[in-house]
Amino acid sequence: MLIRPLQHFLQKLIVPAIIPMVAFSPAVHADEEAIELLNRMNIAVHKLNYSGTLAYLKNNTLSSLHINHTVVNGVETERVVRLNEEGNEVSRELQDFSFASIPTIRPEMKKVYSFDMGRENRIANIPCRVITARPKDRERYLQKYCIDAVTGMLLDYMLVGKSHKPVEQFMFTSIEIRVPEGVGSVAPTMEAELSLDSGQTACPNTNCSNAVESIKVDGGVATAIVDQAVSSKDKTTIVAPRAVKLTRQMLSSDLDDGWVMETLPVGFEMSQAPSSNASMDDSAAETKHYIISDGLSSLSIFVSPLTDGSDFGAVKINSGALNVISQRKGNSMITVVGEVPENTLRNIVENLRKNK
Amino acid sequence: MSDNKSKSNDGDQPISLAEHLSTVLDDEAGSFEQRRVLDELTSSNNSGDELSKKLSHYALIGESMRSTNPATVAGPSFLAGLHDKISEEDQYHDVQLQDSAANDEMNQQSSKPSSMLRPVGGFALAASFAAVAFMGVQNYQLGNQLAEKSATLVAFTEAAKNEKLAQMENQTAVAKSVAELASTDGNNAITQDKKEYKQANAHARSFLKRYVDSHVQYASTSIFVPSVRVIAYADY
Repeated sequence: MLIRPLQHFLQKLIVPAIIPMVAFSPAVHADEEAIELLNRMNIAVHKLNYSGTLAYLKNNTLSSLHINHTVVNGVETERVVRLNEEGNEVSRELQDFSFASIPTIRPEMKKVYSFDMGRENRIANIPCRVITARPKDRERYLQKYCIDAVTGMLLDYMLVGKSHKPVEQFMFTSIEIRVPEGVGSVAPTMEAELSLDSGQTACPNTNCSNAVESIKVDGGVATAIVDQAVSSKDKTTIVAPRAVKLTRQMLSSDLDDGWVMETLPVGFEMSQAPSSNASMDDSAAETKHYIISDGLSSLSIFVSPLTDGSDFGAVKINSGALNVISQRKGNSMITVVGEVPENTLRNIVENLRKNK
Repeated sequence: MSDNKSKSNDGDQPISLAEHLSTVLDDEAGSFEQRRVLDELTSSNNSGDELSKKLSHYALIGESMRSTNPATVAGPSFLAGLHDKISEEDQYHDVQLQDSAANDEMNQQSSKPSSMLRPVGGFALAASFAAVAFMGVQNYQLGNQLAEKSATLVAFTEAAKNEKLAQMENQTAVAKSVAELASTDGNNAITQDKKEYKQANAHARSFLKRYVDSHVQYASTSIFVPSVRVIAYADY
């Protein structure tokens, strides 16, 4: 007779016993450590001076580049030299280009990624810790990092597709890291220095650091003016931010000109970039640029009027982790670009409708 | 199988490997024959493959003769179809994502640090071991009753499974008829959007390059030298 009440009592006891054991499990702490280290890395990549040789694997092609990144008076300058191409060294001038991409790993990103703290590794003779951002669906790539825990510098970065093979990888084979003058260390507190306090999420995932100094909000589009330092030399590309136009977060899925995004993949948010660009021609000036991002993966939707030269049917391009698809819809050309699997881009295009 | 083997032994014809295999399966072969058959089975040549197939057939025949239930054979097409289905299967659906999100929220809510929870957790762990042991004894005492109930449960589950299969067949039939209707409707929105994309030619690549630049400039979340990507994209 005593068996059933005792069994009931013990079952009641087991449930509350398991919950704290799960909550205090090492996985939870490793998860938070991984996110903290990723956020440190995001800052270090932009705040440190470093130079080194980088191996870059794209699809099955391996190339090597020399990177020199410096920060002078808060302005980043990056010099990239291609080392192994025959007489075709890079000499590309990028106007108005921003390298101030500092995504922040937000807690809600755990809905779509699991962050794992991996083993110790060694890259370019520097010990580093492997961190994996593992997607919980097939809408994005798995991202694998190896980060120097001392400086926060990223030494190895890999994007892995659904076939478990890397689609793109960057790895330093040698690197020299220096802390810029006036910066004591790359500590997590630097994140606060970079945050915007305007109340508006002007840049949910990109283009924040150099914009902090002076931000103008005009018609819902925030514009940050930073120093110009663009130049180009033979065999090299030197790029620095000039005029960074920030993106505007969109609260609904209604796009301009009657376009509606019916369904977004889980975890993605939409924002709008400035629709015109001086380097584009007249038709491109009318192009609307929408950005969809989950903080680690992003894609762009371009809606442009159909012109004689732009109607080349439904086409696709793949370059490493980057995919591009473009097709006609009504009288518009829809082009979607992103570092996500091709299928994600297809779903985006399918969910883009025009209200009549 | 034994009859065939004895006929061969009576005649002058040499004994084939298949016959040796049969004797091994009948436990009538000597150690030399056993080794020879095993060596042949593990070899990677054609005769080894043939012998493996024969072994499967003999084993299946033997199993069928010993068993009262009919034996089922999974053909290569079935296995290939199974692999295809597994590869097509989404690892995580939206429902699972929502579940995962709910679990995350629960973990966050329950992960408030408290120094009191650790000793309570230790006590609870010990208590849970005691509970498992206690329930084991109880289950032993109630074993006969459970056996009767499980037989009833198996019968009930079988009936429920059949009913579910019938429902699924009906749903599949409905879905198929809807799909057939859709395929005959040229204005169907779903079929309109299922585009076949071809590889972009040089003209299209050149035209789309501007969008790649704008994407990397404004939208790329690549934290690592996006300039490298831009330079690399110049190749495509």
